[in-house]
Amino acid sequence: MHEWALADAIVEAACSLLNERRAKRIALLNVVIGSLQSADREVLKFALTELFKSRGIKVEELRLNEEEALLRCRLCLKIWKLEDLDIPDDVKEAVHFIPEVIHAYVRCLNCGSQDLEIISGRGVYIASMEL
Amino acid sequence: MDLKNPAIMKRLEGIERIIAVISGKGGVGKTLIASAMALTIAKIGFPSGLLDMDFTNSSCHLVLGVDVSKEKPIEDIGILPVKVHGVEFMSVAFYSRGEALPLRGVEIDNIFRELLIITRWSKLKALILDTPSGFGDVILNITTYLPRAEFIAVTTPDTLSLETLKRLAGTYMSGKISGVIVNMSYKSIRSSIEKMGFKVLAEIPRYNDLEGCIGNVDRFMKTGFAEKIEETVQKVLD
Ligand SMILES: Nc1ncnc2c1ncn2[C@@H]1O[C@H](COP(=O)(O)OP(=O)(O)OP(=O)(O)O)[C@@H](O)[C@H]1O
Ligand SMILES: [Mg+2]
Ligand SMILES: [Zn+2]
Repeated sequence: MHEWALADAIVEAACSLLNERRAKRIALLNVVIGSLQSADREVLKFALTELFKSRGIKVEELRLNEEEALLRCRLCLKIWKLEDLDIPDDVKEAVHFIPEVIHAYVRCLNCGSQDLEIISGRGVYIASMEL
Repeated sequence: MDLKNPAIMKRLEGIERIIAVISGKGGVGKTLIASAMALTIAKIGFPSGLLDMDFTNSSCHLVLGVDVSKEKPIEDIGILPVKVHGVEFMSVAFYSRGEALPLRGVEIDNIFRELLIITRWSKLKALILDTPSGFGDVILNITTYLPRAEFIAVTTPDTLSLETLKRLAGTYMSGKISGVIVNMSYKSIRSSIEKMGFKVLAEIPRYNDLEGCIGNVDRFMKTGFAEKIEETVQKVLD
Protein backbone atom coordinates (compact mmCIF):
# COMPACT_ATOMS: atom_id res chain seq x y z
CA MET A 1 0.00 0.00 0.00
CA HIS A 2 1.68 3.22 -1.03
CA GLU A 3 -0.72 5.18 1.23
CA TRP A 4 1.74 4.30 3.98
CA ALA A 5 4.47 6.27 2.22
CA LEU A 6 2.10 9.22 1.84
CA ALA A 7 1.11 9.01 5.49
CA ASP A 8 4.75 8.77 6.48
CA ALA A 9 5.54 11.93 4.52
CA ILE A 10 2.78 13.75 6.43
CA VAL A 11 4.02 12.43 9.77
CA GLU A 12 7.64 13.37 8.97
CA ALA A 13 6.56 16.87 8.04
CA ALA A 14 4.38 17.28 11.11
CA CYS A 15 7.11 15.93 13.39
CA SER A 16 9.74 18.27 12.02
CA LEU A 17 7.48 21.16 12.92
CA LEU A 18 6.74 19.66 16.34
CA ASN A 19 10.46 19.27 16.97
CA GLU A 20 11.04 22.90 16.19
CA ARG A 21 8.36 23.86 18.68
CA ARG A 22 9.47 21.19 21.18
CA ALA A 23 5.91 19.87 21.26
CA LYS A 24 4.56 16.32 21.55
CA ARG A 25 0.93 16.97 20.93
CA ILE A 26 -1.21 18.10 18.02
CA ALA A 27 -4.60 19.59 18.88
CA LEU A 28 -5.98 19.43 15.36
CA LEU A 29 -4.53 18.05 12.16
CA ASN A 30 -6.36 18.81 8.95
CA VAL A 31 -5.35 16.54 6.09
CA VAL A 32 -6.79 16.92 2.63
CA ILE A 33 -7.20 13.97 0.27
CA GLY A 34 -7.45 15.15 -3.30
CA SER A 35 -9.68 12.87 -5.30
CA LEU A 36 -7.32 12.76 -8.30
CA GLN A 37 -4.88 10.58 -6.40
CA SER A 38 -7.76 8.54 -4.95
CA ALA A 39 -5.79 7.56 -1.87
CA ASP A 40 -7.69 5.10 0.31
CA ARG A 41 -9.13 7.13 3.17
CA GLU A 42 -9.30 4.30 5.71
CA VAL A 43 -5.79 3.05 5.00
CA LEU A 44 -4.47 6.58 5.21
CA LYS A 45 -6.24 7.21 8.50
CA PHE A 46 -5.00 3.96 9.97
CA ALA A 47 -1.45 4.61 8.77
CA LEU A 48 -1.43 8.16 10.17
CA THR A 49 -2.76 7.00 13.53
CA GLU A 50 -0.21 4.17 13.81
CA LEU A 51 2.73 6.28 12.65
CA PHE A 52 1.98 9.11 15.06
CA LYS A 53 1.53 6.61 17.89
CA SER A 54 4.86 4.94 17.12
CA ARG A 55 6.55 8.33 17.51
CA GLY A 56 4.82 9.09 20.77
CA ILE A 57 2.83 11.97 19.30
CA LYS A 58 -0.70 12.52 20.53
CA VAL A 59 -3.17 13.77 17.93
CA GLU A 60 -6.30 15.01 19.65
CA GLU A 61 -8.27 15.39 16.47
CA LEU A 62 -7.48 14.11 13.00
CA ARG A 63 -9.64 15.41 10.18
CA LEU A 64 -9.49 13.94 6.71
CA ASN A 65 -11.30 16.04 4.16
CA GLU A 66 -11.84 15.04 0.60
CA GLU A 67 -11.30 17.63 -2.12
CA GLU A 68 -12.81 17.25 -5.54
CA ALA A 69 -10.37 17.13 -8.45
CA LEU A 70 -10.93 19.84 -11.03
CA LEU A 71 -8.98 20.43 -14.21
CA ARG A 72 -9.14 23.68 -16.13
CA CYS A 73 -8.26 24.00 -19.78
CA ARG A 74 -5.78 26.82 -20.22
CA LEU A 75 -6.89 27.35 -23.79
CA CYS A 76 -10.70 27.54 -23.57
CA LEU A 77 -10.93 27.89 -19.77
CA LYS A 78 -13.55 25.12 -19.39
CA ILE A 79 -13.42 23.28 -16.08
CA TRP A 80 -13.70 19.49 -15.96
CA LYS A 81 -14.46 17.09 -13.16
CA LEU A 82 -12.82 13.70 -13.06
CA GLU A 83 -16.11 11.98 -13.95
CA ASP A 84 -16.45 14.14 -17.07
CA LEU A 85 -13.14 12.88 -18.37
CA ASP A 86 -14.14 9.22 -18.23
CA ILE A 87 -10.76 7.84 -17.23
CA PRO A 88 -10.12 4.10 -17.71
CA ASP A 89 -9.16 2.05 -14.64
CA ASP A 90 -5.56 1.36 -15.64
CA VAL A 91 -5.00 5.11 -16.06
CA LYS A 92 -6.60 5.77 -12.66
CA GLU A 93 -4.13 3.31 -11.20
CA ALA A 94 -1.18 5.20 -12.76
CA VAL A 95 -2.60 8.55 -11.62
CA HIS A 96 -2.96 7.10 -8.12
CA PHE A 97 0.84 6.92 -7.90
CA ILE A 98 1.81 10.07 -9.81
CA PRO A 99 -1.19 12.41 -10.25
CA GLU A 100 0.56 14.50 -12.95
CA VAL A 101 0.69 11.59 -15.40
CA ILE A 102 -2.95 12.41 -16.09
CA HIS A 103 -1.51 14.86 -18.63
CA ALA A 104 -0.32 11.96 -20.76
CA TYR A 105 -3.87 10.70 -21.08
CA VAL A 106 -6.50 13.44 -21.00
CA ARG A 107 -7.44 16.21 -23.36
CA CYS A 108 -9.97 19.00 -23.01
CA LEU A 109 -13.35 17.65 -24.12
CA ASN A 110 -14.19 21.01 -25.64
CA CYS A 111 -11.10 21.99 -27.60
CA GLY A 112 -8.75 18.99 -27.49
CA SER A 113 -5.93 20.87 -25.73
CA GLN A 114 -3.59 18.92 -23.45
CA ASP A 115 -2.72 22.08 -21.56
CA LEU A 116 -4.92 21.34 -18.56
CA GLU A 117 -4.26 22.68 -15.12
CA ILE A 118 -5.08 20.69 -11.99
CA ILE A 119 -6.78 23.45 -10.01
CA SER A 120 -7.82 21.37 -7.02
CA GLY A 121 -7.86 17.90 -5.55
CA ARG A 122 -4.41 16.78 -6.66
CA GLY A 123 -3.21 14.67 -3.75
CA VAL A 124 -2.68 14.30 -0.04
CA TYR A 125 -1.43 17.28 1.96
CA ILE A 126 -1.60 18.99 5.34
CA ALA A 127 -4.10 21.84 5.11
CA SER A 128 -3.48 23.07 8.65
CA MET A 129 -2.14 22.00 12.00
CA GLU A 130 -2.93 23.38 15.45
CA LEU A 131 -0.67 22.62 18.39
CA MET B 1 1.19 23.94 4.12
CA ASP B 2 3.64 21.82 2.22
CA LEU B 3 6.21 20.10 4.34
CA LYS B 4 7.31 17.12 2.37
CA ASN B 5 11.06 17.66 2.45
CA PRO B 6 11.91 15.72 5.62
CA ALA B 7 10.39 12.61 4.05
CA ILE B 8 12.57 13.04 0.96
CA MET B 9 15.71 13.17 3.09
CA LYS B 10 14.62 10.08 4.98
CA ARG B 11 13.92 8.02 1.86
CA LEU B 12 17.43 8.71 0.56
CA GLU B 13 19.22 8.07 3.85
CA GLY B 14 20.60 4.70 2.80
CA ILE B 15 22.19 6.07 -0.36
CA GLU B 16 25.89 6.86 -0.17
CA ARG B 17 26.21 9.13 -3.20
CA ILE B 18 23.64 10.95 -5.31
CA ILE B 19 25.08 11.87 -8.70
CA ALA B 20 23.14 13.98 -11.18
CA VAL B 21 24.24 13.95 -14.81
CA ILE B 22 23.57 17.42 -16.18
CA SER B 23 24.24 19.65 -19.18
CA GLY B 24 23.24 23.07 -20.40
CA LYS B 25 22.90 21.84 -23.95
CA GLY B 26 20.59 19.05 -25.04
CA GLY B 27 21.55 15.89 -26.88
CA VAL B 28 25.09 15.68 -25.52
CA GLY B 29 24.70 12.15 -24.12
CA LYS B 30 23.39 12.56 -20.56
CA THR B 31 20.88 9.75 -20.79
CA LEU B 32 23.37 7.33 -22.28
CA ILE B 33 26.03 8.29 -19.74
CA ALA B 34 23.69 8.16 -16.73
CA SER B 35 22.35 4.75 -17.78
CA ALA B 36 25.83 3.40 -18.47
CA MET B 37 27.12 4.69 -15.14
CA ALA B 38 24.34 3.00 -13.17
CA LEU B 39 24.83 -0.26 -15.08
CA THR B 40 28.59 -0.11 -14.57
CA ILE B 41 28.37 0.47 -10.83
CA ALA B 42 26.17 -2.62 -10.59
CA LYS B 43 28.49 -4.58 -12.87
CA ILE B 44 31.55 -3.91 -10.72
CA GLY B 45 29.64 -5.15 -7.72
CA PHE B 46 28.02 -2.21 -5.97
CA PRO B 47 24.29 -1.69 -5.48
CA SER B 48 23.23 1.13 -7.76
CA GLY B 49 20.11 3.03 -8.75
CA LEU B 50 18.97 5.07 -11.73
CA LEU B 51 16.22 7.67 -11.52
CA ASP B 52 15.01 9.27 -14.73
CA MET B 53 14.24 12.88 -13.91
CA ASP B 54 13.58 13.93 -17.49
CA PHE B 55 9.85 13.64 -16.77
CA THR B 56 8.44 15.19 -19.91
CA ASN B 57 10.63 13.08 -22.14
CA SER B 58 11.93 10.08 -20.20
CA SER B 59 14.22 7.80 -22.12
CA CYS B 60 16.42 5.77 -19.76
CA HIS B 61 13.97 2.88 -20.09
CA LEU B 62 14.69 2.83 -23.82
CA VAL B 63 18.43 2.51 -23.21
CA LEU B 64 17.81 -0.21 -20.63
CA GLY B 65 15.34 -2.03 -22.87
CA VAL B 66 12.60 -1.93 -20.24
CA ASP B 67 9.07 -2.41 -21.59
CA VAL B 68 7.20 0.09 -19.41
CA SER B 69 3.80 -1.21 -20.48
CA LYS B 70 4.63 -4.66 -19.04
CA GLU B 71 7.03 -4.12 -16.15
CA LYS B 72 5.79 -2.17 -13.15
CA PRO B 73 7.28 -1.15 -9.83
CA ILE B 74 5.77 -3.18 -6.99
CA GLU B 75 3.63 -1.44 -4.38
CA ASP B 76 4.87 -2.11 -0.88
CA ILE B 77 4.58 0.64 1.76
CA GLY B 78 5.53 2.90 -1.14
CA ILE B 79 6.86 1.57 -4.39
CA LEU B 80 9.91 -0.55 -5.11
CA PRO B 81 12.01 0.33 -8.16
CA VAL B 82 12.27 -2.21 -10.96
CA LYS B 83 15.50 -4.22 -11.00
CA VAL B 84 17.21 -4.10 -14.40
CA HIS B 85 20.59 -5.81 -14.84
CA GLY B 86 21.29 -5.26 -11.17
CA VAL B 87 20.21 -1.60 -11.23
CA GLU B 88 17.25 -0.31 -9.22
CA PHE B 89 15.41 1.71 -11.82
CA MET B 90 12.61 4.24 -11.45
CA SER B 91 10.91 6.42 -14.03
CA VAL B 92 7.57 8.16 -14.54
CA ALA B 93 7.49 6.31 -17.85
CA PHE B 94 6.09 3.34 -15.89
CA TYR B 95 3.02 5.47 -15.22
CA SER B 96 2.81 7.49 -18.42
CA ARG B 97 3.44 4.34 -20.47
CA GLY B 98 6.27 6.14 -22.17
CA GLU B 99 3.85 8.65 -23.73
CA ALA B 100 4.80 12.32 -23.96
CA LEU B 101 4.04 14.04 -20.69
CA PRO B 102 3.40 17.76 -21.15
CA LEU B 103 4.14 19.49 -17.85
CA ARG B 104 4.55 22.96 -16.49
CA GLY B 105 6.99 23.99 -13.80
CA VAL B 106 4.83 23.46 -10.73
CA GLU B 107 3.92 19.99 -11.96
CA ILE B 108 7.53 19.06 -12.49
CA ASP B 109 8.08 20.13 -8.92
CA ASN B 110 5.17 17.94 -7.77
CA ILE B 111 6.38 14.87 -9.64
CA PHE B 112 9.90 15.44 -8.37
CA ARG B 113 8.74 15.32 -4.76
CA GLU B 114 6.11 12.62 -5.22
CA LEU B 115 8.61 10.24 -6.82
CA LEU B 116 11.18 10.78 -4.10
CA ILE B 117 8.58 10.35 -1.38
CA ILE B 118 7.08 7.10 -2.60
CA THR B 119 10.13 5.28 -3.98
CA ARG B 120 11.88 2.94 -1.57
CA TRP B 121 15.49 2.46 -2.60
CA SER B 122 17.74 -0.11 -0.99
CA LYS B 123 21.06 0.80 0.54
CA LEU B 124 22.88 2.02 -2.55
CA LYS B 125 26.48 2.91 -3.30
CA ALA B 126 25.16 5.49 -5.73
CA LEU B 127 21.93 6.77 -7.19
CA ILE B 128 22.39 8.24 -10.64
CA LEU B 129 19.96 10.93 -11.79
CA ASP B 130 19.33 11.56 -15.48
CA THR B 131 18.15 15.13 -15.97
CA PRO B 132 16.70 17.29 -18.74
CA SER B 133 19.07 19.77 -20.37
CA GLY B 134 19.29 23.37 -19.25
CA PHE B 135 19.08 24.94 -15.83
CA GLY B 136 15.37 24.52 -15.20
CA ASP B 137 13.07 23.13 -12.52
CA VAL B 138 14.71 19.75 -12.09
CA ILE B 139 18.23 21.10 -11.61
CA LEU B 140 16.99 23.75 -9.20
CA ASN B 141 15.01 21.11 -7.30
CA ILE B 142 18.02 18.84 -7.03
CA THR B 143 20.06 21.68 -5.56
CA THR B 144 17.26 22.62 -3.17
CA TYR B 145 15.84 19.28 -2.03
CA LEU B 146 18.93 17.10 -2.42
CA PRO B 147 21.69 19.33 -1.10
CA ARG B 148 24.20 16.51 -0.97
CA ALA B 149 23.83 15.61 -4.64
CA GLU B 150 26.92 16.04 -6.80
CA PHE B 151 26.82 16.99 -10.45
CA ILE B 152 28.67 15.50 -13.37
CA ALA B 153 28.41 17.89 -16.29
CA VAL B 154 28.46 16.63 -19.86
CA THR B 155 29.58 18.65 -22.86
CA THR B 156 30.70 18.10 -26.43
CA PRO B 157 33.74 20.01 -27.75
CA ASP B 158 31.40 22.28 -29.74
CA THR B 159 31.49 25.99 -29.01
CA LEU B 160 27.82 26.31 -28.07
CA SER B 161 28.04 23.40 -25.65
CA LEU B 162 31.26 24.67 -24.07
CA GLU B 163 29.74 28.10 -23.65
CA THR B 164 26.85 26.68 -21.61
CA LEU B 165 29.41 24.91 -19.44
CA LYS B 166 31.21 28.20 -18.92
CA ARG B 167 27.89 29.75 -17.93
CA LEU B 168 27.31 26.95 -15.44
CA ALA B 169 30.70 27.75 -13.94
CA GLY B 170 29.32 31.16 -13.07
CA THR B 171 26.27 29.89 -11.18
CA TYR B 172 25.86 28.89 -7.56
CA MET B 173 25.76 25.29 -8.73
CA SER B 174 29.35 25.26 -9.94
CA GLY B 175 30.72 24.14 -6.58
CA LYS B 176 28.67 20.97 -6.85
CA ILE B 177 30.25 19.83 -10.08
CA SER B 178 32.62 17.03 -9.27
CA GLY B 179 33.76 16.66 -12.85
CA VAL B 180 33.09 17.05 -16.54
CA ILE B 181 32.68 14.38 -19.19
CA VAL B 182 33.46 15.46 -22.72
CA ASN B 183 31.32 13.30 -24.98
CA MET B 184 31.41 12.76 -28.73
CA SER B 185 34.88 14.21 -28.57
CA TYR B 186 36.91 14.85 -31.72
CA LYS B 187 39.54 17.18 -30.26
CA SER B 188 40.87 17.60 -26.77
CA ILE B 189 39.38 20.52 -24.87
CA ARG B 190 40.81 19.48 -21.54
CA SER B 191 42.73 22.68 -20.96
CA SER B 192 39.80 25.00 -21.66
CA ILE B 193 37.66 23.05 -19.21
CA GLU B 194 40.39 23.06 -16.59
CA LYS B 195 40.64 26.81 -17.06
CA MET B 196 36.98 27.03 -16.02
CA GLY B 197 38.03 25.34 -12.79
CA PHE B 198 36.55 21.90 -13.53
CA LYS B 199 38.14 18.47 -13.47
CA VAL B 200 37.92 16.45 -16.70
CA LEU B 201 36.75 12.94 -15.90
CA ALA B 202 36.83 11.57 -19.45
CA GLU B 203 36.98 12.47 -23.10
CA ILE B 204 34.78 9.97 -24.90
CA PRO B 205 34.86 9.75 -28.69
CA ARG B 206 31.85 9.22 -30.93
CA TYR B 207 31.18 5.52 -31.50
CA ASN B 208 29.29 4.45 -34.56
CA ASP B 209 28.22 1.10 -33.11
CA LEU B 210 26.19 2.61 -30.27
CA GLU B 211 22.89 3.12 -32.01
CA GLY B 212 22.44 -0.61 -32.58
CA CYS B 213 22.89 -1.30 -28.86
CA ILE B 214 20.17 0.98 -27.50
CA GLY B 215 17.77 -1.28 -25.63
CA ASN B 216 20.17 -4.21 -25.51
CA VAL B 217 22.14 -3.91 -22.29
CA ASP B 218 24.41 -6.91 -22.90
CA ARG B 219 25.61 -5.48 -26.20
CA PHE B 220 25.68 -1.93 -24.87
CA MET B 221 27.97 -2.92 -22.01
CA LYS B 222 30.46 -4.45 -24.47
CA THR B 223 30.95 -1.25 -26.46
CA GLY B 224 33.96 1.06 -26.34
CA PHE B 225 31.62 3.65 -24.89
CA ALA B 226 30.81 1.44 -21.89
CA GLU B 227 34.53 0.79 -21.43
CA LYS B 228 35.18 4.53 -21.20
CA ILE B 229 32.33 4.88 -18.71
CA GLU B 230 33.79 2.11 -16.60
CA GLU B 231 37.12 3.99 -16.35
CA THR B 232 35.17 7.10 -15.42
CA VAL B 233 33.11 5.33 -12.77
CA GLN B 234 36.29 3.94 -11.17
CA LYS B 235 37.58 7.51 -10.87
CA VAL B 236 34.29 8.82 -9.52
CA LEU B 237 33.96 6.10 -6.88
CA ASP B 238 37.59 6.36 -5.74
N1 LIG C 1 29.77 8.80 -27.52
C1 LIG C 1 28.75 8.66 -28.37
N2 LIG C 1 28.93 8.14 -29.60
C2 LIG C 1 27.91 8.01 -30.47
N3 LIG C 1 26.66 8.38 -30.22
C3 LIG C 1 26.39 8.92 -29.01
C4 LIG C 1 27.42 9.08 -28.02
N4 LIG C 1 26.87 9.64 -26.93
C5 LIG C 1 25.56 9.80 -27.20
N5 LIG C 1 25.27 9.38 -28.44
C6 LIG C 1 23.97 9.46 -29.13
O1 LIG C 1 23.58 10.81 -29.16
C7 LIG C 1 22.17 10.95 -28.98
C8 LIG C 1 21.86 11.82 -27.77
O2 LIG C 1 22.23 11.12 -26.59
P1 LIG C 1 21.37 11.23 -25.26
O3 LIG C 1 19.94 11.04 -25.55
O4 LIG C 1 22.00 10.37 -24.25
O5 LIG C 1 21.64 12.78 -24.95
P2 LIG C 1 20.93 13.65 -23.80
O6 LIG C 1 21.95 14.63 -23.35
O7 LIG C 1 20.35 12.77 -22.79
O8 LIG C 1 19.78 14.37 -24.63
P3 LIG C 1 18.56 15.24 -24.00
O9 LIG C 1 19.19 16.58 -23.67
O10 LIG C 1 17.58 15.32 -25.10
O11 LIG C 1 18.09 14.51 -22.81
C9 LIG C 1 21.63 9.54 -28.85
O12 LIG C 1 21.17 9.11 -30.09
C10 LIG C 1 22.83 8.74 -28.40
O13 LIG C 1 22.75 7.38 -28.79
MG1 LIG D 1 18.35 12.70 -22.04
ZN1 LIG E 1 -10.21 23.50 -23.90
